[in-house]
Amino acid sequence: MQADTKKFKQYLLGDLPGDQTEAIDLQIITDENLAEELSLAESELIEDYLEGSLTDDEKRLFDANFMISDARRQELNDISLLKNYARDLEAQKKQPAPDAAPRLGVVELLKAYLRPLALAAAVVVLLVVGLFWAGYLSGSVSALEKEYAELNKKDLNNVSELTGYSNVILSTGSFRDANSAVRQSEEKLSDTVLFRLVLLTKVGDGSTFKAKVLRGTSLVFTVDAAKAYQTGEGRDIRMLLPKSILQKGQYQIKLENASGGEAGTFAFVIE
Amino acid sequence: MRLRPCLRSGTHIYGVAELKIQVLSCYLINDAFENSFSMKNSYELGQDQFDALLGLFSADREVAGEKYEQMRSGLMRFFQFKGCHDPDALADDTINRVASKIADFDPKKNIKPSSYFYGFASNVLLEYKRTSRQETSLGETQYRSVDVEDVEDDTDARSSCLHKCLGELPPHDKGLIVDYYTREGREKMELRKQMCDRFGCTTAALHTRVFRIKATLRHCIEDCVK
Repeated sequence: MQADTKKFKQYLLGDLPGDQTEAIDLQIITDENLAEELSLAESELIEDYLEGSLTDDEKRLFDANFMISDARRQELNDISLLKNYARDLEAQKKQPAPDAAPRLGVVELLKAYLRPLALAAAVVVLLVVGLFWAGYLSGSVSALEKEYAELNKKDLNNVSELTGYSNVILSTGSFRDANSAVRQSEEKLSDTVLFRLVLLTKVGDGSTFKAKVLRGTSLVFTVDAAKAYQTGEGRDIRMLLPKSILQKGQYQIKLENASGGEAGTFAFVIE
Repeated sequence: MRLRPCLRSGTHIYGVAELKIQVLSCYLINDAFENSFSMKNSYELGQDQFDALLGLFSADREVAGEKYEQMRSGLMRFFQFKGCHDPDALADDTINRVASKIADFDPKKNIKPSSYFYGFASNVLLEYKRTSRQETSLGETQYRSVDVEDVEDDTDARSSCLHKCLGELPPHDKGLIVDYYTREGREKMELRKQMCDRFGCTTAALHTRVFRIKATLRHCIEDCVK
């Protein structure tokens, strides 16, 4: 059964030789029992994608040949939500119950008294350093943002022609921990990365959105005009981002529409 | 807008007479289909063609009616797993094309009906893909401003509804589906194997159960987000 599932996954990705594809095509038409196994392969493929276990080639095929219908987008979104829910629940179970407050001695009391002062001093130092660092970075980031604003004006419609870029497909969702978001290996990323943000709702062709890339809670990059492209029956937002802003950590891309309203949040992890 | 005869049948076919009535009276007016997949040909099926189509399946009319229905379901599955938007309409289009070319079918060549239909279905699929691509590239040239009303991310709503709907499931089903999606990679495979052992069922049966629970959840979520 596992061998069959692997073969069916290749079939769904369009990665089987012609004769084998034809054989499965014919089997689908004549054997109603095959539908269940193929549905299983569809679900597993989506899970593989969400878990980041597809190779770059498989991801490209997933994007070009598999994620082409609203039904599959919906399935991806639903499985993503279920996985998030399951992980959140497991994380809650693992969290230790808070201990009762311990009794404090004189030294501990003194430490407790001084701790807020030390903390306040540390915060002031961090603020000064942070402001200095932000000022330093703002110049270089905006130059890069300008460069990528030009790049993102390019036509990114034909994904099969964009093979030089690593391809990251994200669906919307609120992810509360690193395990529940799409994961991407830093080593496998090309210098410029193509991000595809799947929209479940219809938007006009060529509509543009402001995309803010956050690492943790810090804004690291902005694309002012990320365009919507049609894929099969749905739409996705496509944009190119520099690898240099993507270091190991948790990221979110927040989309805003023309009036500044929130249009979706897409989470991922670079590892 | 065009009217086109079709072999669409919304209900189970009990006999050939009913099937005939459906074919002769069925005219599909479908703007969505016409917009998304404009057919090259419109087929006018005659009684002879229709009889010949049924004859392809069996000399026995009752058996032919059943096999016709099986073929239609098979074609729908084919288009579904190819990721097509409207497998129903594409299956009907394939059958219409086969029926219109039925005179070319040579029974002496000993070709299976499924292979014969598959040939036509492949062409319908190619045309569908070509049309989808053209529409995609055409869409790119038609820039419009963002319609704020259109942009409503319903993921948060679906997430809240998922919590609510999971709460409405029988505890055993909820536990099963949450466990099913808890882990990743190898751990996930081991956990699912353990679940099979625990429930005393095969892997296939476990998946079937999960599919059914997911279907229930999906209906509940759809109702909830409306």
